[in-house]
Amino acid sequence: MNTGPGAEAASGPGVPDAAGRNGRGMSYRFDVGILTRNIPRFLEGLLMTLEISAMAVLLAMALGVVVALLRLSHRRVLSGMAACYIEILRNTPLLTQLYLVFFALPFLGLSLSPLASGVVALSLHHAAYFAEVYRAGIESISRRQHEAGKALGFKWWGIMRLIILPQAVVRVLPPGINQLILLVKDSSLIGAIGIVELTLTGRILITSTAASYEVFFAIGLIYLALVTVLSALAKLLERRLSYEF
Amino acid sequence: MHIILTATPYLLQATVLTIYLSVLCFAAGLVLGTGLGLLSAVAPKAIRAAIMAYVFVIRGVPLLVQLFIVFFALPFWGLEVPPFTSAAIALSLYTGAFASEIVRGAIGSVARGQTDAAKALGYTRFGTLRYIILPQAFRYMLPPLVSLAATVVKATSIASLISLTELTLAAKEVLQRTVAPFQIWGLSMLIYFILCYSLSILGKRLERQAAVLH
Repeated sequence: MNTGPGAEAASGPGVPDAAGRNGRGMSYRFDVGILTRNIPRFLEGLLMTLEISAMAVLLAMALGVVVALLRLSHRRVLSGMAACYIEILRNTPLLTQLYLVFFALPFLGLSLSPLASGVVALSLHHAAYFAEVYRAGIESISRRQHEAGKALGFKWWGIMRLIILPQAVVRVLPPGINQLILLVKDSSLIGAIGIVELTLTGRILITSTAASYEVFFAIGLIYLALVTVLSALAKLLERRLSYEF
Repeated sequence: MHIILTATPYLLQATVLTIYLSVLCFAAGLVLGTGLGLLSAVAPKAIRAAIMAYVFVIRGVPLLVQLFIVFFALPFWGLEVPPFTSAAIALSLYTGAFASEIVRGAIGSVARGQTDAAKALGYTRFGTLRYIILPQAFRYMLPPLVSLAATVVKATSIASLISLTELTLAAKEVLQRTVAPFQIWGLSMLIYFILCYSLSILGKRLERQAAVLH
């Protein structure tokens, strides 16, 4: 699948080249009509992106708590296993993890639908990052609080639940929201296994309309708006919570 | 096992392309990022605003969409870019934005008193930056830059989606001919892991050194 000079020469207007590009010359102006006609499709794609992200974020945040607590455990085996999980997931590309879940798990008899595979891969990947975010938050709470809790007769879980975690939550919020935004952007990769989210919507639209410029310009803008809204919400939430403490 | 042995040379060959693309984009991004980072430390407001807008856009849009814009949308202006060049352009612009933030942050983290002291000693604005700020900022920026390099290595995998036969697409191609998904994905992830983990170890070491020096 190399697009050498030969392949490019073959691509005239309306004829996609080997990579699926649709050359239509350079005489076209920005065609807003193509965008307005396809608003429902953009919205569908956006909805799918939001759906995947929401499911993956919830799973990743929950799994992240488990991994972080294991990582902080005093049992060597548990914290070692958690460290392995974190390092492997953080040091390999999400795309390969996605392919592993989608193409390899069926051979273990675990056949997930494309949507489930996408959500699982996104969650597993980002859980590793969330775990590190939580760990940093927990470790930023002074060690003495731990000792004070112990002196007052709290058990480990009690110290965590009643003393450390309530304080850590506030510190974890800004990097946590940052991670959420990264996850939303990473959801664009799920199109690679055929889930028609926002990015794949664009990929499909340009094969039928050849309006590559307009379509990806619009999609870029939608992501930008989404990310901006999320970070604005994050700032609001941060201010709210910092008042409480 | 047999499959791994026969696939390894092909995957390693693709790894060379992955490394080549990573090094190229990291170098280009570093040059771009350093330039922009320094500019945002000294330039007038209008230029700083332009740099901020660039960083905002790059950070707000998924890399894949940026790649598609370069690959599918540049032909709109009559610029037919082959996959490798598209990936190189998109990744360099991406890396440049993050590198500029790192450089800007590092310059900002050098204590304000240093600038005042340099001024009192009669240094020019450029002299202050060159002799006082940058040597100190350098050790702040090194660890995050190394971890950015690991991010770049991982990010090259999405070039597979515009049919560039780097490691990820090579693995996918092997799997069209053989049925050994665990071995092949395991092997390609191992290669990525070796590349990225060694960078992350280097980053941690540099971080420790920076902390000691501080």
